Amino acid sequence: MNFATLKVAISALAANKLRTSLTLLGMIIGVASVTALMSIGRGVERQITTELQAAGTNVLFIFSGRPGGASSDDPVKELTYEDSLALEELTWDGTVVGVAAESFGRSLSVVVQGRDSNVRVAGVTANYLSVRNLALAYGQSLSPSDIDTRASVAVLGSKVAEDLFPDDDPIDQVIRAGNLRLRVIGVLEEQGGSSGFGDSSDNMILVPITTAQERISRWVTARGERPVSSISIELMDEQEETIDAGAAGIRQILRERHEIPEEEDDDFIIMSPKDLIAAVGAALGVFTLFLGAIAGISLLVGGIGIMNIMLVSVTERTREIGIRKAVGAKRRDILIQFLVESVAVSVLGGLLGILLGTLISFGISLIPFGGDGDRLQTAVTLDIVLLAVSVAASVGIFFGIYPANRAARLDPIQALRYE
Amino acid sequence: MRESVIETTDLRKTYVMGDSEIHALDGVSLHVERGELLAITGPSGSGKSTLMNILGCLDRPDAGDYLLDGEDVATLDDNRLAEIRNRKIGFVFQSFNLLPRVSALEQVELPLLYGGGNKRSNSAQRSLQGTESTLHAGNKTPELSGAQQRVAVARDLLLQRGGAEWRDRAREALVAVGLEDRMSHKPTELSGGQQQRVAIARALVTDPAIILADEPTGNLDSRTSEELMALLLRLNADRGITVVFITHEEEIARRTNRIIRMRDGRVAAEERGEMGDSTHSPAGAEADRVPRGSLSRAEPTSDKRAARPASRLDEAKP
Ligand SMILES: Nc1ncnc2c1ncn2[C@@H]1O[C@H](COP(=O)(O)OP(=O)(O)OP(=O)(O)O)[C@@H](O)[C@H]1O
Ligand SMILES: [Mg+2]
Repeated sequence: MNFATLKVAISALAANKLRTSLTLLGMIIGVASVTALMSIGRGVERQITTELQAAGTNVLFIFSGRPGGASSDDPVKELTYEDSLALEELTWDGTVVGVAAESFGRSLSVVVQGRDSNVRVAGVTANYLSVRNLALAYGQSLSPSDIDTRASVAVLGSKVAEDLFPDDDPIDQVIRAGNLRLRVIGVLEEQGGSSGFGDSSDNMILVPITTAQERISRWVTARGERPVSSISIELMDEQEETIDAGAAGIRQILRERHEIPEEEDDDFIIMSPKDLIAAVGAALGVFTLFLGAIAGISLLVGGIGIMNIMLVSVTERTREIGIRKAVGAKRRDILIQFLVESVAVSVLGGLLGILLGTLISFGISLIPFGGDGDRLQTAVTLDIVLLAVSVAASVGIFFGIYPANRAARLDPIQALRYE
Repeated sequence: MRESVIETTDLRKTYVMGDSEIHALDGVSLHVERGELLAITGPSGSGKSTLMNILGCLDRPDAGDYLLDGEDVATLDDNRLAEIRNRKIGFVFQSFNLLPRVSALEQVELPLLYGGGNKRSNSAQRSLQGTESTLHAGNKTPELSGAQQRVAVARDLLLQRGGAEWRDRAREALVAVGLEDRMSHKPTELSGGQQQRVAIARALVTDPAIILADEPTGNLDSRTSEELMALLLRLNADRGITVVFITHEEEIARRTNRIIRMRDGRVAAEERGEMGDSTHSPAGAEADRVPRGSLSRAEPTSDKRAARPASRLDEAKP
């Protein structure tokens, strides 16, 4: 192929502008829908992984449960506050930086200045914020002495603060949650979305874990320990070895405390966000591709359009093909001439389609959805663009090869005689 | 003895239509010498076009041998045939067969685009091909095919293929047929005679060994026919290009070295033309004896115009 071939193809396409535009349109719609749908998938993918990452990748989460999934006739021992205290032992060698526990939260009716709303209240340890990578917007965090004294203080999630005190400074205000009277000492920064591990902190009220266990849920296990919903372990870094060492230490201590015989499975689950991000990322990647494949059906239609128009074009230009062969064009020359034409249409359609798809994707990112005006940050990434262009080019080749081959195989004499 | 360009033996071509067989060619043996001017005549359906298409490597015979420039064409594959059409043959059709919507200059560049641009002149081509065929003739070891490749590459380098050179050569060919002021015209903007001149320029541009013309003046009025025939005769005379053409006009047929008369797919008769046997006198010398009578019968102005391409040819000659 050379420049002259391209010129011939372009002038052939330009000779029939309406037809070329309609064929282009088919490709544009196909590629635009692939681009737009994949950008949505990629946006969801990014949003979820960023949220997971925000929770910190050097953290391990421990829940009670069987690693293989528990059955109801196979009861497990609850994780307890005492377990979390025992895990503090791991901080001795520096692998583990902090251990934080979170009690089972409870939805309580919260009354402020006569307004009533339902908010989830959970008890947490003093280092919960640092372990869970949560930042304070203003005010103070829960202190160890608040834990020791079972103080009636609360840190509000950003949305809770906004809802309860739209106009006032919440600090030092007193709120009533169930039968508790709590003094607000701090407000968290907005975390956004759901962290993937329970509710977003935005919608929660955090109180000292001891206060929660004393005043909200007095449930104790058979051994007189106070259950927690999860324990979070902050590691010194996110290296594979650190995570493995941390998990091994946790298993050893918890198995001992839960008196699990050698041959039995753990009755707790250790999860690392890294694993989760990888697993979720892979699943979402498949989801994105799936969206792309659905949109690909419209690309197929565009490809059939190209094939159709190329077949018409070959028939119309039979005589031209004959002339070219008479002056020395080989099969290959004719094949390439028509292939270049169909690929030119498909690639041009592909590029315009990416443009349109990007516009659509941008439009989607402007539309608020859900109650709280969230927007999906769609993302037209480079790999989507490359995929779209190469799929478009392949469509051009795939659907162009048959008509081009038909043209190339024409007998020169018969082609010249064609009326 | 002069070198022969075309040598066919017992060419046959049969078309089967339902139950009946049509012997379009029923054993044609033909011998054309380099530089010869040959006319083929015969009644309609006698197989002239069928023969011409086979000579032009556009079609293949069902049986018989065809040596073109010493090469056995029957054994060649489609690609090689395309190369031969490109390099050795210039075909002129009755119906012009120009590409629609394409300027005259680009029409003429077309054969160069398909490989004819690889050579500068026929003689250079022939000498190089000599080298190549010597290499062919040796034996088919990989080293030799490598050597052939090197010859081809060297040829490309020496002869500088490229767009600018193609353009120049196309211009040259258009000037030679007297269309220097119609280069950017498209077929719809040209008269029939001018279109056929473009076709002749296109046939000429690769410096072919033979020009084959199937009733080149069949679609033209008699005055324009005169001009075109004069042009073809000049090409034969000045450039030594072998010209074989089909015509229904006895008068035109006679202004050649030789006339082949076909009937029912056979060569029914062979006659010497007014220009006599090309073997005994150089074609160029004969060209001066182009029956002036026939030319002068045309309008004086058209006579001038007919003469013009010839003078251009002279200028174009080194
Ligand atoms: N493709 C074909 N299929 C069937 N028969 C054919 C085909 N081509 C040519 N013929 C037949 O072969 C015979 C020779 O045809 P050809 O075209 O060579 O004649 P011609 O001498 O060129 O005639 P004309 O002077 O009218 O052009 C005719 O009888 C024609 O009907
Ligand atoms: Mg004919």
